[in-house]
Amino acid sequence: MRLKLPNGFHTKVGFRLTAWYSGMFILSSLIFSTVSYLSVFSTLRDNRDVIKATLSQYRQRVEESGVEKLGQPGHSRRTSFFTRIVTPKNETLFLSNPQLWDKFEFATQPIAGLDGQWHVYTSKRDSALLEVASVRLTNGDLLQVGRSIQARDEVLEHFRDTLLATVIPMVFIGLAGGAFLAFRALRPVRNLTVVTRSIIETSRFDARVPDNRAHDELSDLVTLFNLMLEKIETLVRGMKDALDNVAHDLRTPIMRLRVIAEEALRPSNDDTIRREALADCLEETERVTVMLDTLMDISEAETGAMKLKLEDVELCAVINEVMTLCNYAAEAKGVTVTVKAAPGFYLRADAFRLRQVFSNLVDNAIKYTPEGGRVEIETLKNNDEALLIVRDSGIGIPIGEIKRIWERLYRGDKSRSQRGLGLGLSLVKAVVEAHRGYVDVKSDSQTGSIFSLHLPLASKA
Amino acid sequence: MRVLLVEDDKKLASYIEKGLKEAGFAVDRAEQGDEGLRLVLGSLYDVAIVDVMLPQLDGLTLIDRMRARKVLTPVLILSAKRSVDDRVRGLQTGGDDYLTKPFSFAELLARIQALIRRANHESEPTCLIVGELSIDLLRREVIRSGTKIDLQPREFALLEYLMRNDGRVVSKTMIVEHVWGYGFDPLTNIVDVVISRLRNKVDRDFDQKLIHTFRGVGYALKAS
Repeated sequence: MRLKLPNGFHTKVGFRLTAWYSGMFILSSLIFSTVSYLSVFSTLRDNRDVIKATLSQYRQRVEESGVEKLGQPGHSRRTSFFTRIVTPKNETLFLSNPQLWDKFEFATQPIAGLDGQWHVYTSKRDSALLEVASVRLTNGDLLQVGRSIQARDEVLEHFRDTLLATVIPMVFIGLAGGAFLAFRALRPVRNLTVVTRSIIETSRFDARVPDNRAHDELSDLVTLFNLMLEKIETLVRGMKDALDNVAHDLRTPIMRLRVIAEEALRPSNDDTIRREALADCLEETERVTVMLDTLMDISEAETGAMKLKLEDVELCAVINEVMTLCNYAAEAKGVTVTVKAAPGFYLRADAFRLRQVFSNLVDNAIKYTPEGGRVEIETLKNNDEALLIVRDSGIGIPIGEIKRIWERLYRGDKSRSQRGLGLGLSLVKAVVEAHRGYVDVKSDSQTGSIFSLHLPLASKA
Repeated sequence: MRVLLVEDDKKLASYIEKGLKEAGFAVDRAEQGDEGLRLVLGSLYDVAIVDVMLPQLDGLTLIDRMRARKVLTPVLILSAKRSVDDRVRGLQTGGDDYLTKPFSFAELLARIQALIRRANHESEPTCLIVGELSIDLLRREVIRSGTKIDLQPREFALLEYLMRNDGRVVSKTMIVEHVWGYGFDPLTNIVDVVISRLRNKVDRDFDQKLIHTFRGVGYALKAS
């Protein structure tokens, strides 16, 4: 059987997972970056408030204690602050860190109209910027406090650059992470695909999907899939064995047919011998048919392929039905059969199959009990199972053979002289086990054999 | 009597045809289902023998279609499937009897004749007589040469069945079906046992034996 396999369908789920993961990752990273940029930006915007606060603080100090109180150049640890006091004639009385601010060449810058205003000085030498707030002191001098805003812009610019520089790796990491996660998450699915494909291509059911035992949904799926494979494998193997057995078992009777036919065709034979041979052939075909039917029943019961029409069946009623058949055989053989069956034991079973099982078992017991002997049939209830016991006063089964009596076509030394196919007990065992029961046998050459069938009772009983 | 035989196995079909012609039937043969359907719709047959596995149109569909066209010809289904389910399905589709392969020709013939008798509503006899043996079906009495013979119910049923078949051979399967009903195991040699008991009661004390064994085929009850 060849099936056309679809190709490449598995990449779609992987791709979608990757895309979703990367998308979400990149989007959240972008949101995070934007928020932090805005927050840094607003922090730096607070520059003016700091300058203003410092200005009013210095002003108070200068008004109260004079310029000296601002101390020597570099009086403050906050060297990044620019502080200057200038006369109305544009003479600088005080300048913090002159070497830092000289480049703005204040002498050439007019000071008119600066009082209470923000002003930005531009350096002639480089691109440095200085943002300054000014206030007029009571003596007419101008107090200026400021800060380089180049630093702020630089920070922001740097931050922006850093963010931009991280965007590309971020996208890359997002894609790679997404692909990796999709790859990992879909690994069980991929394994499943590989194993299924190999089974379809090779028809070998012994492959199993590796289980990562993660106890997640996919792991459950894998476990169930493997269990299903196991079940299929058992069934297929059972079927194959059954087929082999049937083919093997049929060879002997077919061989016999051939021999009889060849014998009949010998030129020296007269008509009577030929007629006999043909009748032998007919009898042999009948045997083969019965044998084939029984072998199929056994195989079906053993592999679980037997269709059981389950209903609530009363054990006692089935036994009585079977006895209407078996009594004839018992009478013909001169064997007394007694039945001690209590009514009211209900089994969940296929009535036809139960009859088949019981009649085989009882027929068997009668067959191996000599004339004048007894066969006792008894039913018992043991917890949730019904027990059917068939006790005979027969020839017994040698210890060496007792394990083999359930094998198909096995016939013990003593049983070879009896009619039969050697399939009855195999059928009994297979059908009882198909009903979730089991069989047991005890035997003694002095007292005979005891066969017991254990069958689960129906729940209402 | 006209018989339609729809069977795709040439060897088996020609063998059955030959046997039926010897038994006095006119036989039409079809190897494919659609051909069989055309024939059965085209002319009147007393009985049709239809195999289940057929090319073109399977046997059950054939029966279904012919019943849909109100063709009431009795149908005997031949099948290689022996399960009770298959049998029930065949009879529910509109088949009148079901015969599992391999079968003996004697059994096929007996079943066909039974179908024809049933279809013609032959009146039920109340008394059957073969030679010097007679049974009264109403009083359930068996008399041979003026001597009353006591039979158990199953023995009586078996004798009645043999006598109704009027000298034709009936197989063990047919006997089990009629005397015990379906669903009994063929492994038991029950039929042999009951036949031998019947022989003891009916034939033992007489020179002329009525019950005959046909090895590998079955049993018949006849005077000669």
